Amino acid sequence: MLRPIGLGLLLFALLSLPVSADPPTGYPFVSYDEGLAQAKQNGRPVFLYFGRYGCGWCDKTNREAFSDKQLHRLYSDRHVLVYVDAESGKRLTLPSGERIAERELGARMKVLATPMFAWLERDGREIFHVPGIQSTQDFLLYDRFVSEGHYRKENIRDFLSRETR
Amino acid sequence: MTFYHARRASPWLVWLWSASALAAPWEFGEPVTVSAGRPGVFHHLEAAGRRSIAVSSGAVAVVWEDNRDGTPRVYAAFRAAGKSEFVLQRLSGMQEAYEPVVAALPQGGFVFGWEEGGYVWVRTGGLAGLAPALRLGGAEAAQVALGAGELGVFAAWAERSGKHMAIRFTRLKPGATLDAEPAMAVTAPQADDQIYPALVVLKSAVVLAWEDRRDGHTVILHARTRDGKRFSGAQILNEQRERRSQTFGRGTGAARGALARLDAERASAVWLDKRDFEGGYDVYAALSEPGALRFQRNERVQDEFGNNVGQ
Repeated sequence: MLRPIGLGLLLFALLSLPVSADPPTGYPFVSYDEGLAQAKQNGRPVFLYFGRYGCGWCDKTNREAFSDKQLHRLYSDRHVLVYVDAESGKRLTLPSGERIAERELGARMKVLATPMFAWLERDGREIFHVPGIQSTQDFLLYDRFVSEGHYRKENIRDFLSRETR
Repeated sequence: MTFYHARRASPWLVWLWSASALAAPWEFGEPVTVSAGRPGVFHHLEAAGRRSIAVSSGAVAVVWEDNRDGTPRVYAAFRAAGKSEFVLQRLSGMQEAYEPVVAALPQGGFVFGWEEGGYVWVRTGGLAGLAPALRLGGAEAAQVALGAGELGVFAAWAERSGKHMAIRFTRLKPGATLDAEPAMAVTAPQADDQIYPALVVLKSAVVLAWEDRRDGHTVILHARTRDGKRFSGAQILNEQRERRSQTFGRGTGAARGALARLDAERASAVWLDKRDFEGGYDVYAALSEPGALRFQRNERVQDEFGNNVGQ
């Protein structure tokens, strides 16, 4: 009898682990408006993390990819990190001057599922975006694509095809 | 959906389907321009409970937010039956204002609500003019919803309570000067946010629905009151097929519920639902049992093409 109870307790404990689906801890994520203001000042591209409160795939990506120390250093140093909640009514200001809710930004960016990750120019124009779970390796490649300026010469598909050949 | 699509497809104009079409929702007349746009001016019909239009005493009122003078403010436009022109009134004051709602008053005229300067405000009015605005609640607040019917005129909104937002509710007392009873909490304090209420008044109950994050993900909860003083226990409106999994995390998401009166004793609810994780939010609906203590099973009301619509 002890074994099933023990397994049950373990399962309960696992399911009770915090699944924040907020931005990964330890990263300097800021709001959309603050991020675009920072990007204008420091000239860095914006990394936009579009998540949902309670999103399991966001949590998996946080735990498995964003826990990498190299990724932490590169993204904290080279990007302005912005987090947007797919269901939030928090307001932000688009580069056009229009004020919309974070949820509406997802509709404008045609987000179908969370997480969605987008890289933006410092003026807010989108460079590219990728939906779904991403690995550490994926994020490292995306960082190179943006930080090394490859996006000015080729699209992400061609870049990944060449780099992963 | 009509207003949703109209808002997104036509950012320069706020459209209103002709008043005659309101009684026959699947036979729209020609669109009518309520407020013409110009570059740099953005119109929004965003509203808690999606109440952006109402008809009372032969007049139609439409409310929205735009930045025509450089600051987001909320406006109402009125058109009397038989007239072709809308009369414009600004509802908000000097601060940034958002998410206006409108409801028809049983005695004629309208009641309006909106968010301005971090608080929620209400006022009554119509073609003849507007009464002074009244602030509801004492703390940071947003997303006011309104409803009126046999039981009276009511408002619900999200108000800061400690670290989180909680749904507050009150009975409004229209008159020469609009007044309100002391606000009450709809549920006991929760460990996370309650936001975006929707409200409908039936013959014998006032029904509320709202987004609730107490379980670590967003669900739509509902409750009702018969006397305006005590609410029934909150129940989940959006059915949870699968929870706490790798795919869904703590559970699926849901957002932006709206309530309408189906008949004297039944309500209908519509909301955005993320139970299909591979597509955008789907539109789901449920009809209440008489008295609206419970809702019947959920039904997806959009077609497959909706899966290709973002969010």
